[in-house]
Amino acid sequence: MRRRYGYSIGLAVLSAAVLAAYAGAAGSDSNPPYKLVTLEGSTEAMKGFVLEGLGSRLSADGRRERTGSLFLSAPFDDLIQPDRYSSERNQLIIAHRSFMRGHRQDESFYRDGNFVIGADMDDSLSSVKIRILDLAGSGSKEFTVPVRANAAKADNPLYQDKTVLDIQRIETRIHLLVRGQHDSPGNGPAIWTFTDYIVDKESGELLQAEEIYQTVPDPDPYTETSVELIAEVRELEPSSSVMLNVKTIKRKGPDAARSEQDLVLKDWRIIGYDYASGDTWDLPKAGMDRLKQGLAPRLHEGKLYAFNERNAEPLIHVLDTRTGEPLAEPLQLDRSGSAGLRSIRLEKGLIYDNLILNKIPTVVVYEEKTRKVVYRGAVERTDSDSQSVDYQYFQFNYYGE
Amino acid sequence: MKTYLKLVHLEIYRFRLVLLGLMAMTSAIQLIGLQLAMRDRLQAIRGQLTREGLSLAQYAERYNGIPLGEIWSHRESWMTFPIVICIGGIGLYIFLIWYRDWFGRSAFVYRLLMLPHSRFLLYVSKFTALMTFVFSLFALQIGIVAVQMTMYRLRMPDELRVPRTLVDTIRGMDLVLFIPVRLHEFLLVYGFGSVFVLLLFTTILMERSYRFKGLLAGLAYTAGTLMLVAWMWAQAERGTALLYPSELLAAAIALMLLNAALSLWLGRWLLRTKVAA
Repeated sequence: MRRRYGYSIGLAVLSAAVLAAYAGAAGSDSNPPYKLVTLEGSTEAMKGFVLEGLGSRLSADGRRERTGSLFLSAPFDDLIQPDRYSSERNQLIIAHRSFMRGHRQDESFYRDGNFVIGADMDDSLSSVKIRILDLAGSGSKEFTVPVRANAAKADNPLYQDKTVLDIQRIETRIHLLVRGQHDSPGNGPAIWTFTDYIVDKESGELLQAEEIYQTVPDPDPYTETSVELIAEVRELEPSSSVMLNVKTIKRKGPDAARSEQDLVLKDWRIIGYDYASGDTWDLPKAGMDRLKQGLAPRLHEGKLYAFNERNAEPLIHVLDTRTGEPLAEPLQLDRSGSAGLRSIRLEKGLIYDNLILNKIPTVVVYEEKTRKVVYRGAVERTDSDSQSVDYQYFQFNYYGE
Repeated sequence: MKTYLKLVHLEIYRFRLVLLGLMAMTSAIQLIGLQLAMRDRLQAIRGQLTREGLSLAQYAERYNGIPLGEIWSHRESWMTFPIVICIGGIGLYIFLIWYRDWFGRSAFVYRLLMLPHSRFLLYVSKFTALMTFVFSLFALQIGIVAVQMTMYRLRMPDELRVPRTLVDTIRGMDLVLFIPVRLHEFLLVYGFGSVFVLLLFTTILMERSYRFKGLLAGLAYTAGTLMLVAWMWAQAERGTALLYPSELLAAAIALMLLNAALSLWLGRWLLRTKVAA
């Protein structure tokens, strides 16, 4: 009997044995062989943050899990894969599941102690759907606010786009900062517009549309203007102002490649806009001179931060958004063991520095006011047979508390 | 039970040469592919060492070690081609496992349908045999990776070697799609695959029962189910559906379970009342 069926029995038993051994190995491999070890300070500052690298997700409180290896199940996660600055909406998904149903990917969200507001441009680019959740308990309401067709629409541009970049609430008014982009009439570079649509929170009526900035096409075909929004780095947090980073760049000629050497910075402005008063201003020379040292501007808690993550020893400058003058002495960060493998994050008066320090992926958290290190942690290998962490870059992400 | 096991054995035995052929082809191509990939990679590194005047240790310090998965990816087609052939072979045999009984030598189906047992045993035994083929190839692939790891240990200089466990090695390869390291991923890949086999079985039996009309109905049923699941998957990926992705997944699983039950019931009914030799 056994001999007669030997082939089938052998095949089934051998396969089952290999699969059982593999299942056992995979089951015991659920924890990654790395951990985030606290070297200094308290883990309180690291609440909600994780380091991700070498197939692991590590928290300062000792939690660690595997990442990756998802294919069929990959899109079936209710939470959005966190990136540097847009992961806070995962907290909204958890806390307000019903309000966020079908709206996880809306263009912009805002949250304060009383309201959550979401806004999304409709596909025809002619109106914005605003949804307001009253946290005091009176439920949610929706408005559809028409956004005006700009002049170029009449010219029927081949391409146009509109996106709600930022939402703020100032008393009973909702401000929607909308970026529009469309072809210029003479086939020139695209025209960008930034408009603040002010909406009455109670009636949903559009009260005013304030154009903050519009690019003007340069007659020189090799000159292009790009505009980047500098909004509060924490997507959901209230902020009374935003800034626009406007750069005009000239290519050296028609054959010049778009590499950095072939581009000349012709003009650079940082324009501030105050939602409450509608004031706009240019960042004065003092601030621009600082930024021209190769620093990137960030807005957080009403202050302009300037730093360059690619520097081996970055300095964090904190500037006044209106005068450009320093508000404090720059903060000197540790020297990185690997230039370019670093990320800096600003959050609630803390500065998170994720770097390679003495070959090891390390996070240092500074309190901005006192300059004190409130947390220092490093990634450690728990199994000497696994891949070394030396010079390995771990991404610093916010997962929510 | 004994009849069922005998029928399973019969099906496995009938496919043995093809299965052994697939296994031999997969092993040979993947192992030779890795050998060639390691040779090319090491040659390139030696060339670079000479050009830059570096030692192996200095190279490893500057560029890090080279994990097996990275070498594997240099000859990826050598690794995936046999897998595609195996999937194609098994896919084709889903049809042949039935049709060879009708169109093979001496119309074997007469004898099978006349057996003094439930005809549904034929259905279940054929399904079991196919799953045995699939999981034996799955097991073989794990074995091949284990052998490749040994080749890597023997061939790769200490300075460049990146130590990894078997599971970690598989995790670092695209192969992980076919041999998942996560249980829920395994259940999804092979669960959905199994239901797909049941849907095709139903299509075949409908064709045997109602000929062309049955074939059309079966194909429409299979395609409809797959399109619905693909739509749910796309909705989850787009992230704008009213249902949350976890709810879409639950709906997709429920749909597949429902279809599995329907296919089994329909297969049983067709075999009992409609299918004729």
